[in-house]
Amino acid sequence: MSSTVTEYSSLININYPEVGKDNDTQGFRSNFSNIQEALLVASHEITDLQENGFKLTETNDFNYGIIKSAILQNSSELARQGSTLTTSGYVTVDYTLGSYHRFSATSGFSYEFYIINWPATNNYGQIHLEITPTSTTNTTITITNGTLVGTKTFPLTYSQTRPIIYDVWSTDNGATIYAIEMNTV
Amino acid sequence: MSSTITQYSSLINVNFPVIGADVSNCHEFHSNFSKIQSSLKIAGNELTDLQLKAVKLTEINDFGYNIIKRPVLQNCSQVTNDLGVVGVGIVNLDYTQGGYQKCLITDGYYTFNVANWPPNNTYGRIRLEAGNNSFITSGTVYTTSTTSTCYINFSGNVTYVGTDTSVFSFNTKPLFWDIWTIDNGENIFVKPLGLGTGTNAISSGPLPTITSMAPDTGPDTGGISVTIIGTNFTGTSVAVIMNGTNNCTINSRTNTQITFTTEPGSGVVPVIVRTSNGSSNSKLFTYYSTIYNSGETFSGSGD
Repeated sequence: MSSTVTEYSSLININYPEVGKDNDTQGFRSNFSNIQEALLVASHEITDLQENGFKLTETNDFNYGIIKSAILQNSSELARQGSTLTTSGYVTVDYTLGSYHRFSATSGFSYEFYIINWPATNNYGQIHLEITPTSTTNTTITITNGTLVGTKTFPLTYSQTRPIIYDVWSTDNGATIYAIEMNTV
Repeated sequence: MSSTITQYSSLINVNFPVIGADVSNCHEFHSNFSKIQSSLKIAGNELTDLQLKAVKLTEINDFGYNIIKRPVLQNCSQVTNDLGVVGVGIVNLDYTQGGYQKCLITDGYYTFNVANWPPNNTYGRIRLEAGNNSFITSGTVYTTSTTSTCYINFSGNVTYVGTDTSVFSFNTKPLFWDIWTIDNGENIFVKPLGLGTGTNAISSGPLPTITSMAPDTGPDTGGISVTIIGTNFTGTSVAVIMNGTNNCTINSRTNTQITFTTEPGSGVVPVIVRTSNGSSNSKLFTYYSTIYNSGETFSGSGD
């Protein structure tokens, strides 16, 4: 895409008015009109860049546009401190809010983590779930629609106060969810 | 970098024409219009430059391996490359096609080869998913319960992190690996995911390794003797596999050397050593044609 400013600016007659001629005022109007059109085009193009361009110091929503062949340096991913879980039931985890979700879970209950808002099909979305039981009383964990890589299957029961960490991902908008148990922290 | 528009726009005589003064020579008009035009031309060129180089939030943006520094990522994902059903032998994965690559395999020997890694001193990583094609009869619906056994390795200078298993017996659950490099693929690290916890994988002894193979070319009719040098050619069921399926005749074997006879074939094919502990890295063998255009078989030296 190229700017079209010069389509109008090139029409400006820089030799007007001509010496020794009876110059009517149309030449002035034409020049001012072309100047105005050129500035209007420039304004629209600048507005497009302002509205749709990447800003270094602001939050940029790529709306699932592809970033290709980029090298990330000193990058990080948004982490979210979830609420303290105090009773059995569903725990909603919103993919869009962060890549790392941390929970403290009152032991003795069964929690089912329901991850919503996965990226679109054919996009690989991955999050880490960190769940820390409050005591060694049995705590049971399930990830909705989750398949554990390896031989174990959900639900899993833990008797520990060390964090339980899962690497969880999907490539089909959450229809299939795989999880790796990483609870060796 | 700053705009240079004001180089010209600042020269515009904003006090011209002067009331009551003679403007008949027209020069000042020309000068002002010229400077306005030059300013707009510069504005157009600078806008074009921005439009061509700017990152657009809703388009594909190719950074050409330039660095994005200090981003905090939220609700991001990576492109998935679905290869579908792949045949035995070499399976080519293209790093540039996605951070997550998936395929369907079944019994047999597979050598995954990752191409187009990012430049040296950048960390490139993909996650690989290999599903069991024995389960697929219609789309992605699993309808049978066949357990497949496959022999999987990765081409190049590979270091296995953790379990170095290359023999996999699996059924409904796919196999997964993380594969990464920081030196453009010169050294590749492979981490099998979720293994060592039960029947989804068979863990075993040291893997065989091929360090050299000679000769590495031969006729498409097969039948020539080739020597492989390496390590861990031990255990039961030692075999030399060409192109994933051809089990070659072994003429002699020690723990570090195997001499075998090539099978007929064509093109460039991987050669691996398989033992009861798993399969080795691969070396490539190139077949050349022994058929003249006339259809006669080439069998002599050409004297």
